[in-house]
Amino acid sequence: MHESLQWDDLPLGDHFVPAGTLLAGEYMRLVMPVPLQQRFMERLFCAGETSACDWQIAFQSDEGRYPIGTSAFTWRIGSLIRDHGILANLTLGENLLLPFLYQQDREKLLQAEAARDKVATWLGVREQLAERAGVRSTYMHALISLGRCMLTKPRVIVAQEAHIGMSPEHLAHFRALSGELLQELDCGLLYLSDSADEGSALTFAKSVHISSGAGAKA
Amino acid sequence: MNHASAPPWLLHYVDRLGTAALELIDDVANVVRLASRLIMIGIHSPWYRKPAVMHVVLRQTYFTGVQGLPWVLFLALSIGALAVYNIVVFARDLLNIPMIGTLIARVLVLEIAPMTIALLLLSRSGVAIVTELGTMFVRGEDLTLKSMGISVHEYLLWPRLLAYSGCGLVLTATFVFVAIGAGGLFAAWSNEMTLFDFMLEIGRGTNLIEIQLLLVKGVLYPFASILILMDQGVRVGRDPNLIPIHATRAILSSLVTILLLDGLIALLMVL
Repeated sequence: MHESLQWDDLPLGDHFVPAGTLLAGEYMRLVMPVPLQQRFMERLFCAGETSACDWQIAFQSDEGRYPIGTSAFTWRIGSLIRDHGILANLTLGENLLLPFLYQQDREKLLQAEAARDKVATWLGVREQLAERAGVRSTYMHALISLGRCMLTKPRVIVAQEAHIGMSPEHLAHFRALSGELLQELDCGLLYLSDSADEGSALTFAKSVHISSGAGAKA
Repeated sequence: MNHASAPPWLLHYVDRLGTAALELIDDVANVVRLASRLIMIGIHSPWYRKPAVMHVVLRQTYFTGVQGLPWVLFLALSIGALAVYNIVVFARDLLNIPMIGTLIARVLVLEIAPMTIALLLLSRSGVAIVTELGTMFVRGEDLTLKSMGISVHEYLLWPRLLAYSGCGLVLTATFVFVAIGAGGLFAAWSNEMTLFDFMLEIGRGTNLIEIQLLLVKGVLYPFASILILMDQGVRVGRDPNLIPIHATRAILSSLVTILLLDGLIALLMVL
């Protein structure tokens, strides 16, 4: 099945993200400063100051084309955003299930509830599921995001450098879990990094440096 | 008088006045846009079938309605019952018993009850709502929600609008019933008049229009307040320093809006 994430040129202030295509199963890296990564994520999910959905980006598959801002798009695009994996006033268990709790599909919700404990055990947070999230570490944000991706099974994951600030033990665990997730889902990965030497040990099909002014170089 | 001849201090104040007027128009337009968007969600979206949204509705209802109930009872038993008792004594002193029902309807039912509940909700839940929304936006939880395909308006704002307005109406009605009941009992206990006579006068003095107005005010004041509170909470953006500024602005704007609406309704009644 042909599946891809396709986007048009995206100006971000004085920077410029060139148009591109990411195939499911392929890894691609966009190298850009951290504040720009945040703005990229906000544009991708129509959030932030403008909340505008005016970027031409869509998930394309044999079944159809799912443009930005639609439920079908976000359902197919998973995210790992640094310190943005958890809502503070929900429990960790509710945070894992939130996309399903928001849908009207009861069958999907029941399946996700059944799979939740297994995913939580895999993450090592099963004992903490009933805890109110509150303020959590970068590591916990990343774990819950990983768990949610494991439950929703997106076709492409857009990952910001979710690991920055983790302790070495947490980082090692997170990397191992991320690797398992990518292997299990066999999905595409769009990785936003502020350096080409990010140390993820992933093999990227393409690495694009986002620069200010004239454009980017591949 | 042209600009060249106008003193600088006058130009300065005219400029500030113009800026304030433009900001006010912008604020009102934002609130109207927010109201129309949320009403459309309430009408067209199947929010009641989404467990996540219903969970927020129930939690907000509990926080605003159930937890606020003891305060409403306290105020109804103190302010409300005292007002009723004083009206009874006042009418008896004037030897004008039929005045009791009319005064209670005009003073307690139409003015004290909706205003007291609106102010109670504002001071108790209003501050919490602005700061909670502001903190969520500072933490970037809007991005977290949108990355999961969740509408901020449907998940965060609509449940608060629904719970706050609904609880406002129910608590206003509760206030009226408790205040009248307790006031009547107090009057009967102090031998001012029998409870039966008191209830008879209440029935005589209250008409359908007053009951409708009570319902309108009971919903309208909290509805207007919560829209302003949420609008200001959302506007905090990513800057935590703006939370107290927007919280203060939200409370004061809501207060002024309630007073203006009250004046407007009174004016319409006179006309």
